[in-house]
Amino acid sequence: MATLTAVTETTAAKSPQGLDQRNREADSTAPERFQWQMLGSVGPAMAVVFVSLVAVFTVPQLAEYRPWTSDDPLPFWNVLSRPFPSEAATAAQAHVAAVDKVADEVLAAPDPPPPPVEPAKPVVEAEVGTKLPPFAAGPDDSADVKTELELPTGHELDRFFTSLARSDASIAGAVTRAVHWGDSAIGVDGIPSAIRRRMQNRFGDAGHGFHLMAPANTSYRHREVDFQHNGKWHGCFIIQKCRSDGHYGLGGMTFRSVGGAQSSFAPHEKRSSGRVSKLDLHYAAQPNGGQIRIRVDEGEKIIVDTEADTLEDRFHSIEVPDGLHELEVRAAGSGRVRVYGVSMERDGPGVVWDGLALVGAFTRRMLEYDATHLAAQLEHRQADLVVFTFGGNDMVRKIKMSTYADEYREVVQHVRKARPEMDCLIMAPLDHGERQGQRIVSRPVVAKMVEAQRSVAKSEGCAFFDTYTAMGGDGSAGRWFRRKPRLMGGDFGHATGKGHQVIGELFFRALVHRYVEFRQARDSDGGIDAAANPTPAQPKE
Amino acid sequence: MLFPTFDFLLFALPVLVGFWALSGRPVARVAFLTAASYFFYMAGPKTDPPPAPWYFAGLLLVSTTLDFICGQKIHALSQRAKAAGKSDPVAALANRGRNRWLMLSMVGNLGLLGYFKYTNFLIQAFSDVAASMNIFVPALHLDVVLPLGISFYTFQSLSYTLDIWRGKLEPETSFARFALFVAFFPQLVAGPIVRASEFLPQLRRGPSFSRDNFESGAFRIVRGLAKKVVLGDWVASQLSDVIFDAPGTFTSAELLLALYGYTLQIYADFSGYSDIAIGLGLMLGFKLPENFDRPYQSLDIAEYWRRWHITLSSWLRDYLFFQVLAKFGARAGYFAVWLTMFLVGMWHGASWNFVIYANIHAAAMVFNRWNRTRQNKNKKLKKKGKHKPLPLRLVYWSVGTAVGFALGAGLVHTFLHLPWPQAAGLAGFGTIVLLGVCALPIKGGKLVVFAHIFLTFHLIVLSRIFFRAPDLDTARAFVEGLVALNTEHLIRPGLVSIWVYAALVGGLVLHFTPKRWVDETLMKLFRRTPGVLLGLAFVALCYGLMLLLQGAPRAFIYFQF
Repeated sequence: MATLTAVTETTAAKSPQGLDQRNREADSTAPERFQWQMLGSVGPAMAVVFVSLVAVFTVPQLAEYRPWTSDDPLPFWNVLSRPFPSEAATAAQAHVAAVDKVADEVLAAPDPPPPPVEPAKPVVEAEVGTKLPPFAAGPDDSADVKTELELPTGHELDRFFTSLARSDASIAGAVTRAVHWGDSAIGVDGIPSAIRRRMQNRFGDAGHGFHLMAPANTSYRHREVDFQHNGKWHGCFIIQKCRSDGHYGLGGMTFRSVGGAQSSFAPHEKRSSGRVSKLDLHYAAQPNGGQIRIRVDEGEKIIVDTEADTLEDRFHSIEVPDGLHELEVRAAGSGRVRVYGVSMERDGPGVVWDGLALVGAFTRRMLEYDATHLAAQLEHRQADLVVFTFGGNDMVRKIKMSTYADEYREVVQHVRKARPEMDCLIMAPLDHGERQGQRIVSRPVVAKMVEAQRSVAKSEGCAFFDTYTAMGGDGSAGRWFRRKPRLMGGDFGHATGKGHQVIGELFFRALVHRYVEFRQARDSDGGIDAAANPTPAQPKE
Repeated sequence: MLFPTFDFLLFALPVLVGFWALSGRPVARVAFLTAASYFFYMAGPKTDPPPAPWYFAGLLLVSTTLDFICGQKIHALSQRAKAAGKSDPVAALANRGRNRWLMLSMVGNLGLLGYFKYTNFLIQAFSDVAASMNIFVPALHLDVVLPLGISFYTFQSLSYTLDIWRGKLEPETSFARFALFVAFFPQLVAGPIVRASEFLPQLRRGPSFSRDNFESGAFRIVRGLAKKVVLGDWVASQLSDVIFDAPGTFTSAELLLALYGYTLQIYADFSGYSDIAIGLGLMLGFKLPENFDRPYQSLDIAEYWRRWHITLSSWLRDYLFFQVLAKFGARAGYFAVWLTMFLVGMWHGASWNFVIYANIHAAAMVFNRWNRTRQNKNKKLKKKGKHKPLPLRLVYWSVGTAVGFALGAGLVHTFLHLPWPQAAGLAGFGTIVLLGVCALPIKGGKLVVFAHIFLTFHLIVLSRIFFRAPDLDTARAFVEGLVALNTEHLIRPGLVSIWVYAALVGGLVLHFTPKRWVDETLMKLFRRTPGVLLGLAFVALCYGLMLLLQGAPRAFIYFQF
């Protein structure tokens, strides 16, 4: 930039008269004609380029050097083929637009409020032999669903929906529980929290659910729980395979201390209903087990002795009046204590959705659980549904999809055997992207993995939610990354906080849509028993 | 359409040959090249994000038609005013009329630019400012797609009406020729910004063909392609993009490496594009202005902006800076500098990031001007034996330093959300550097020159945080990571391959070599090489670039402006 002392015009300023003359002379001057010899060496160079182009497209042996193949979009796509898209392309665009619309709705709406303290309907006692009242749709039950929950036989979630119907009818004590295992896709409790919030607003708040005794990693964060710890617990995470006994607790991590380690739990006043009425300590009794000190609201100390002849799972439940309460758990010495975590619930009716992220885990890591231990944990939780969201970490493994599917099948069977009364749902992984130049494209493995998981769901009698398609299918990682605000993080594999909300909403709508269909079908079939216990399904061998 | 694509090769070869064949027919060649330019603008390959929707061509045509008519009207009214004489009321009326036509041109062009580029940001900014005062104003978001090249062609087109208004240019009589001036494909979407007074006479005269032009043009194209793809796209995909996407997960050393990488990348990308544009222009028989002149060799920020994106900074200098000075006099100098540089920065983007980027450069320019003026003044005072007493100077400097430090810490804490200790640390570092710059003589030996270049280069490098980060949160995370000075590990093994290091070092070293090594020595070698060999080398280069990019080139960074 010129300095102040040099205020001179530097444009090609000439006198207007000179300009006039030059402007007039142009049209009268004979134009310079092009002559081929002017090209010099450029002419032969261009000829070589042209001949090379012709050669790669006409000589079959040079096919690998072709800059364009019939798999690529037509050259000059924007004026040649874009105006005439194929049916598949039109359908894909329409789907993306529909997903974008849902995302816009979610992002435009204010943050969902915490679930109401009191149930929407008056609580009633279930009388044996009576039926639930006919289904009455909730305000959002007819929301648009673009990617449906897949139920191959139509009955994969009958037991879960039956339990949900009882919660929906506000039957006293009707708590519907889901345990949601997954990898870092559900880390920071993002997606489970979004689902939990919507489910509890719709069907009632029965509490936050399970929380680890201490964070498994830096991304462990349940925002609905006011949680503190003093950093003295020694943890063993399931992906480290550090316990040969396979006892890792529901959250995949077992904690030990010989004394002094302490954690406290309370429902967050603003981010949850702020109420709890049942606190459950999950721990292990073992030879030479020490003592755990528990206090509620800094009240009277309760000492739990964890001495036992053999390793066994135990639970210490404390019931309190429904309200804001804090549970403090401390390793009190006299031996080593081993704890898993705490679950916080309310009497119901309502829904509990446990977020159990195993960050960094391959799908097969679930097989590290000891079968008896897993059964004890799930039996105590009385889980109605197990949800699996795995695959993100498996994408880097160089294995055949058939091998991966076999592993997944084994995992599903292992878990369902632990509690056959549970329904199951496989939630496909999110789209994962990678950079190619400026483009962010979906990794080819994603679509293959989704198909593999779909086949597992079908063979194992599980419901299936195609998260990849729900996000918009091919290229959605890139689209979600480019959106403002971003829905996908800079690694193109993990959603942002806003992305969690959108995925949670897409899942919730799909689940409720199937629930509505179930209720309508059952109502026309005679209704649902108010105190019904559906026949448990036999897990596949 | 992107330059380094098969689509463009398929387009350029027939267009070049067709234009050469029509060179002897003025009407046909203009129509041909204009049609080819619109086709170039619209016929992009399938990329992500997708290329231009149809209304982009309409906007280009609207801008062209508006300025063509405005130019004619302004000129006609100017002639009437001149013929009537100064005191004649007809002259006053005519002058008012020509001012209105100029205003129409400016509102039309800048209005288009403002709507498409800045509306959403202004709405968001209003909402953000209100939120900072605890007033909740929902921020509407308009579904607006920025037309490709709008920042370039609006400025280009506006230069036409402005120059006619100033009496420095005759209006173009042929609409087709004027449309070609606006839409000329080599520089349509990413410059160089060509002035009407430079290019319209060339279009009227017709193309100037010579062996020298063809060979220079071809050389510029090859050079630009290699720069853009190897030092631009490839460094981006291997280094800068990876780190800028998630800066929170990298160490300070890795973040600094990404900054150096991006500094090289943006220069190679933009100057490479300009090289290709200029080369194509030469092969079509037209001379486009230079846009870069080894900018990282600059001794100070003022020189940097005389060497970087020359056509933009000179446009704003001529049509804004000098006009502000002319209107308000020398006393408005600092304001004129700040305003011009602020607009240079904001031209690049509409976000808080660019507000910060623009202010960094504007503040640097104002500081540079103040420092030079101060040093020149002190030199003169020293010669006359007059100097402020030392105690007074110490007081001025101490107060100035303290105020600067406090202001810097406050700004960093407020806008970058750094905790006070880190904000103070960063402000302290900045204050020390500025004091060093004040102490450094403007002219001196090699060491002084090196110090100037080093400091200017690093100011540019650090300001790139706000230029490249996709949003303010990412920029904040980047700054936070940089000042964390974590030293557990510097650069993790495997993050960057040896080839990327080689490209980085090689590219930066080449930048600091004498220009003639490339412009003359390499050019001579190019011209001495037989044509067939050149062709084969070009084919091999294209294949290599194809492999490097896996068939998916990046759009030029400046496409987004």
